[in-house]
Amino acid sequence: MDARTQSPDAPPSPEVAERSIEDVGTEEKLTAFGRARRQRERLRKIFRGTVGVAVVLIVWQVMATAYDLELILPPPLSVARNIFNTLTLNYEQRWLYGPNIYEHLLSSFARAITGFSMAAMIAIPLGLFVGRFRTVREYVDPVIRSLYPIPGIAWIPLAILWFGLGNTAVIFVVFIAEFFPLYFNTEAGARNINPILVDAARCFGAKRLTLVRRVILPASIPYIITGMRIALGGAWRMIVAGEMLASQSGIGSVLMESRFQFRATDLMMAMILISVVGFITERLIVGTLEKKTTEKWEVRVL
Amino acid sequence: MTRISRRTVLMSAPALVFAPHVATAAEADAVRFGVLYPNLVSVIHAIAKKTGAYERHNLKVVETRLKSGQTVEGVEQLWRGNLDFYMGGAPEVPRLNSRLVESGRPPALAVVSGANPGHTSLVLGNKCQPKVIDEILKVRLKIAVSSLSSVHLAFFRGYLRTEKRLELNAISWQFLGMEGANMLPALLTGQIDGFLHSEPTPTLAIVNKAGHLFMQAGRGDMGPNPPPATFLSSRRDFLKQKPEVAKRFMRAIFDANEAYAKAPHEMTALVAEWSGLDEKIVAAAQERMNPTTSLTQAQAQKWWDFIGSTMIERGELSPKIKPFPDVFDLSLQPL
Repeated sequence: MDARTQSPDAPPSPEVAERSIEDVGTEEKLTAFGRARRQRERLRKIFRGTVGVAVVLIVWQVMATAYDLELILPPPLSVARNIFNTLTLNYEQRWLYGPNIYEHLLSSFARAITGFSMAAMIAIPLGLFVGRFRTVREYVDPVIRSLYPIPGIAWIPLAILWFGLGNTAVIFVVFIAEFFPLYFNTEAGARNINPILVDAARCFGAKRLTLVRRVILPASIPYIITGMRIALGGAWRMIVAGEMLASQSGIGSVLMESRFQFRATDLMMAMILISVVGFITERLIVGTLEKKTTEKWEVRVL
Repeated sequence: MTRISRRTVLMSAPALVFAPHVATAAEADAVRFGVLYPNLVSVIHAIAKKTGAYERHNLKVVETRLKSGQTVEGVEQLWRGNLDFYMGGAPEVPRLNSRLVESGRPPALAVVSGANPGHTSLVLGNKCQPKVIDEILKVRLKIAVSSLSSVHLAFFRGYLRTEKRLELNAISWQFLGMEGANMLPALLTGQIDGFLHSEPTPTLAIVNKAGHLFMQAGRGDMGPNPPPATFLSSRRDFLKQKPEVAKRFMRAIFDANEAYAKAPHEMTALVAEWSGLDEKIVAAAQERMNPTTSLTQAQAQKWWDFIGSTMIERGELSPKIKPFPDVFDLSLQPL
């Protein structure tokens, strides 16, 4: 683990100050060359990604049309049209799923974020604590490891029994599903911190809280971010499962109802919206957090 | 010692040649039947099995069991050609045919018969004790239904429209979708004020003192001559390819009808075994159920006017779809 911090407005080092004008010119050329190369790489990546997606869409369209699969595999153009119409509230067919799609998405999003926040508030401190203290680990770890193999979906009947049908039951199953990846990743991060870093901090007089704030937390951040990324993906999976069984609103209930109505286009629309919203949520929350921590502090897993 | 003459040998040769064909003709025709199990709506199949009705009509029925609530799966399997007949909730077959008609295809499935007329009950919790329904239509009640597409909700919508001249959005109830199995605990714990469902859920609620039966379609509380809540359906291509087999299957079902109608209470043990319920519950539920399977043109038309029309209104069915011939084909029944 390498944890370094560097302020962008720090004075230049003596080596940089002593550089000749020619050196600086060469460096600029190299930087420009590197920037161009990075841009080319980015363009290539976008191009390849677009080609991959386009191939899938073309195969899908051809298969659906050639084999007349509209009722079980609606062509992408129909699905895209349905998504557009649903998002603009200009429905092609009668909307049978209660409130409009934005309210359903908002309900699901609120449940995902509540479950995620609760899991993060408990799993991250617990993971750090368990990771740093062997005695605590020996007490707590067997309990958590014994609960871990129970799939999130298996908690749904119990959640309905405890909390009834509605928000709380769904949030609970999301919490359960998100807790484990967050906990295990944080615990691994805290356990694998280079002891030299901790010793060095102690030599400089860092007390417990400072040690946690300045060394343990930054050094565990890459692990925590990975845990968050896995947990958020899992949250959307659990949201759908929970809403299909224990809720009247949310994108999962739209998915379930569209199946009862044999409306495959609506079903695929719901699936695609889950994917898009899940992707955006992950980019917004984890991406922002990553920029503010890992990238700023330049910490990475070696 | 018996001597075999040349003549006997020559005579027996054709018999040997034709014997396998004769044996094949005697072999029973296989019919793949999808039924909800354990469940009350499909008990007619259990009766047909138990009374040997299928064997009498030279049929070998291969049963595919689907869990309660899996009507969509059953109808999908029927449509995909994995079943020849399916018995379950009513609205799914018209819905699937509607999707096909909307996309310019011919309807693939046909409702060949029906059962359980007026199988819809409205059970209310003990705290809610109105004398007539008008007292509670403007009260914010939480009423559970198996889904927003439930046949019982469609039935109730039909009742409101025909008997009360009201649309569902004109009343103040909130409908919550939940599995039938969850309705009783939800009612007991006060999470809901009542539910719209079929047997045995109402009987279970009454026996467990969780609520009281406020309305029951079968006894005429939701209008006279209630339409069936269960459909027996088949694939149109199967009916075209094997009309004789289909007719024999229907005759076997009608034999089972007769057996049940003759002595319903003698069937209690069998119904209990098939539905996985206690015999006492089944005996009580039998007052509110009629698993005999037959459907007249008038009943089918009633179903369409009562439930189908509300489904068209809601947008579940295409206005293009017509009950005859797009949904019902009642020609196979020995009526």
